[in-house]
Amino acid sequence: MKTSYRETIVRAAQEVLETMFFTFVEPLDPHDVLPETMPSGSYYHGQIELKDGQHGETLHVVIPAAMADSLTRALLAKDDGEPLTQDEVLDTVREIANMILGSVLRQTSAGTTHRPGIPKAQLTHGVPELNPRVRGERIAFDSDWGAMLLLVDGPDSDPGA
Amino acid sequence: MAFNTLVVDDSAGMRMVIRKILVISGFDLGDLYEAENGRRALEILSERWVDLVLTDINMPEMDGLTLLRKMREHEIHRHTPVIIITTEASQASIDEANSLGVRGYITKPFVPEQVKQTLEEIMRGDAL
Repeated sequence: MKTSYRETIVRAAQEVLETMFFTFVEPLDPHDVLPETMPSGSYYHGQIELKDGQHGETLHVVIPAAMADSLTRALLAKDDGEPLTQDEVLDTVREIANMILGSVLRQTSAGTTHRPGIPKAQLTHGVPELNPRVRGERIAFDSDWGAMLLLVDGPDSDPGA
Repeated sequence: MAFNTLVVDDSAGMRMVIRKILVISGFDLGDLYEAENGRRALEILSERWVDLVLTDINMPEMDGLTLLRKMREHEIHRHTPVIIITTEASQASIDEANSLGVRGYITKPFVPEQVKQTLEEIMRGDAL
């Protein structure tokens, strides 16, 4: 993953979280946070494919469950005391993956040839096991709820290259 | 004139966000309908009178551009104003949407003001 592409993803994540969720995150040193060193607990794992003919990459978003709850409350304008369903949180995580990928595509030339798929999300207990094809730098963000991770897997981790 | 409005997005959360923007923006909102994909939107369009459609593109079962093409083939919905709200920002999609006469193309993430401005143009008749 090129540095410029890493910066593009960082900008995309910050744009999405700030604009739609009023949440501010800062990237961490990628070497400081690895999935295997993240604390146990529940995480939401969102993913969306980016297809270019026969090739494809997948953007993964790994969000601590408490952070996903908070983001969902921000999006839906729900107070802490109001009930929140898991479907609402999964929907939010799918939309976060969708919007981050869309923002990346707008900032790169990839939007002309790559088409996003339908996002998916699931709740995992512990950090999800990711495809061993995951390559390039993992991008971790600091948040009040722990680290949020963005990863890209596929034959070419830079769809704009 | 109150605008009967159809919001089409596979994300229930995004439909709620758009619904709130419609309510707080001063838009003259009539009946509000929601659909989770283009196929369901076509069903609603066949059953209800709709003055304005706000639709996502990237949805399962039937995407927003297919919905738009089918609306333009239909005598009643040929001129119904459509606003696209989507993460899809490829020039091909924008060109196709424009060729099909969309009145606004807003990319996610967005601020409510972007939607409000387009709604105001439609209310004024600027974009009609």
